[in-house]
Amino acid sequence: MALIKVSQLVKHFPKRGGFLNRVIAKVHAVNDVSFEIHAGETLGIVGESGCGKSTLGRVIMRLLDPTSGSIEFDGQPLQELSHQQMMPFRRKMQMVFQDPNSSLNPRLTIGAMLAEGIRFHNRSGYILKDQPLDQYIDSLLSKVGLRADDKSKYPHEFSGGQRQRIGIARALSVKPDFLVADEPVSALDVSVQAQVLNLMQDLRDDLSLTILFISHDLKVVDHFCDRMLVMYLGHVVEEMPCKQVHQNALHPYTQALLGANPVNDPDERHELTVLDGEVPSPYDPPLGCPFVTRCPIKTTKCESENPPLVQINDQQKVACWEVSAEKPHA
Amino acid sequence: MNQEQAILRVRNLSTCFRTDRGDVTAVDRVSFDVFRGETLGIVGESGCGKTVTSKSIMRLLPEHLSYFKQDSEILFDGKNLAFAKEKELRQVRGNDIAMIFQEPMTALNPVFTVGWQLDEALKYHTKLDKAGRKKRALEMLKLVEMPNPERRLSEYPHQLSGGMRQRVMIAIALCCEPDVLIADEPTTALDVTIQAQILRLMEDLKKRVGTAIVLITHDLGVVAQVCDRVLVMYAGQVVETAPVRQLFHQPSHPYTKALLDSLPKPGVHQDRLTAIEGIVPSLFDLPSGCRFSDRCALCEDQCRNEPPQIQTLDSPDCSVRCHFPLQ
Repeated sequence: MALIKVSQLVKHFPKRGGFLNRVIAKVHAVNDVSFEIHAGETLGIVGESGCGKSTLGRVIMRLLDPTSGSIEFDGQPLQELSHQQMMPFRRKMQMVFQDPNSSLNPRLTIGAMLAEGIRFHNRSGYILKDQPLDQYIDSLLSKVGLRADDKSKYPHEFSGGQRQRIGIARALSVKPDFLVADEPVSALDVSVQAQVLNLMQDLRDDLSLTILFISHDLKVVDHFCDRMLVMYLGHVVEEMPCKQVHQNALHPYTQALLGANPVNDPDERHELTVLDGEVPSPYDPPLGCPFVTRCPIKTTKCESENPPLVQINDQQKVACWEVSAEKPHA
Repeated sequence: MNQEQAILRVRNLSTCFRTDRGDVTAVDRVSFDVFRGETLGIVGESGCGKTVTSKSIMRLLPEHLSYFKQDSEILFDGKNLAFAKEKELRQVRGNDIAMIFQEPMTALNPVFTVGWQLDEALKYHTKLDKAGRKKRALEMLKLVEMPNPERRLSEYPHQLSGGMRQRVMIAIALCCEPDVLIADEPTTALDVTIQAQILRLMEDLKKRVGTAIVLITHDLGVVAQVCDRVLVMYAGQVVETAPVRQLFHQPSHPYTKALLDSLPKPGVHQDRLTAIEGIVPSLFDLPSGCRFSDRCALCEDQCRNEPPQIQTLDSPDCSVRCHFPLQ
């Protein structure tokens, strides 16, 4: 059963200017994206900066309104709901942000900050069933590896990794079913990154969370997720299971990403894949395939027609004319 | 290893900062050599002192807030830059030792064109006339494989993408053919595909110009890809020095090993990552023994009480700061 179902989601941002401040261009941040996340699954979204991965996360959370398309949570379409009607879903869907410094209120103690969300969403008594607020916050803090007396401290008294733990505690404080984690470990050092990833993994297993994990780091997504989507310029170019990305990657962009990632072994030094060509402006994306300006295997067809995301095998979808011509669906 | 004289020798470099809470030693007795044509990597987590080391070499730290301890030596061409006068430094900076920074948008001047900024560097460091400088500026942009170099000369930094800005930085740094290029996290702000372009460019330029590169980074993948020798720093001290192969295959310091273990390994299925517990100690409140002792899995009583000294291992290229180096 799919917990989240996204269909043909589009998000454009208008650029205004010129006479009368009219819309003179549009940024095509998310273009016709469809996917499902099953309950208990972790889906990763990989892509470089500007590919629309964060926008996609925010649109799913309804922090931004989609231009068109639909988002279903447990069968309920979200895109038409009013603020009032969204409220019960706000509890069920929570977000962890990239920068723990700017996403925590510097004037609130950790305890006060956590209590705010819990009180707000506890009207039906779902969160605090059998224990008082104080006790619940203590248990929450110990769950993310912080001490109970940390709740009287302010965000600036913590290190970066601890702040990210607080961000995770805040997201989990209202007992959500679905978590969007937008680059949760990108701002952290490697040793701390491993701590936070392990913590998220434990919590995911304990609380059977469904997670959408957004990151630019293919290695982290490959390690943490069950499936991944690769995005380029607002389009999903490949969807595939993780853990075997090296064998499975078919789209030339995914292969380029893999080839450009340095390997952690000096004996396996390889010539890093370097893409030629310019990254197209999102105001003026290419007519055909979004990757056509940098693609090593492009043909004339790619310049005029955008390839659809087609099923290659049971678990994998690719948007590339060349690849789908080679491997028609068995 | 290279038997010839090192171009840059750093000995017992200690950089201290004056703060409201007293003086703090951000870089503690760091020593290393840089040889011609090699790439030396300096790795460590944030706050370990790697950037302060590089800025100390270039003497770019604010003088009213920082000072070097008396026995600090930064030996270049017979001079000790640590206590050199500003006038002498101007000769060295740019001409002999150049630097590129992490965030090219803040390092480039937003109100001048790319051409103007290249020209400025050439004006101070060469005797070329105006036409000659323009020709040289164009050559430099071509050298760093800038697309449409003629047009770029009259463009401003905001008109360029992140990768192109970093190319301009490299062009400015290399326009006087320095002996040493210090690159402080040159690819951290860039996407991986752009990072691959910049790393390849730096490799090419090293071969062509013969510049030695000191690459400062937190990314062990980048180190494995481009460095010849590596210095690992932790809490202001060098904890291990080794050739890159040795460091990745047989790390001697428990910190180096833990750092390598904490990386996700593509293609290898792991259930959990091996994290290093705890956090980097504050420079105001350092442990009395080994600085890594409270996070080290192999910590013994001696480690808590007695700070280890740096010791040379079997080969003179390898040294480690640990009471019980790994075999």
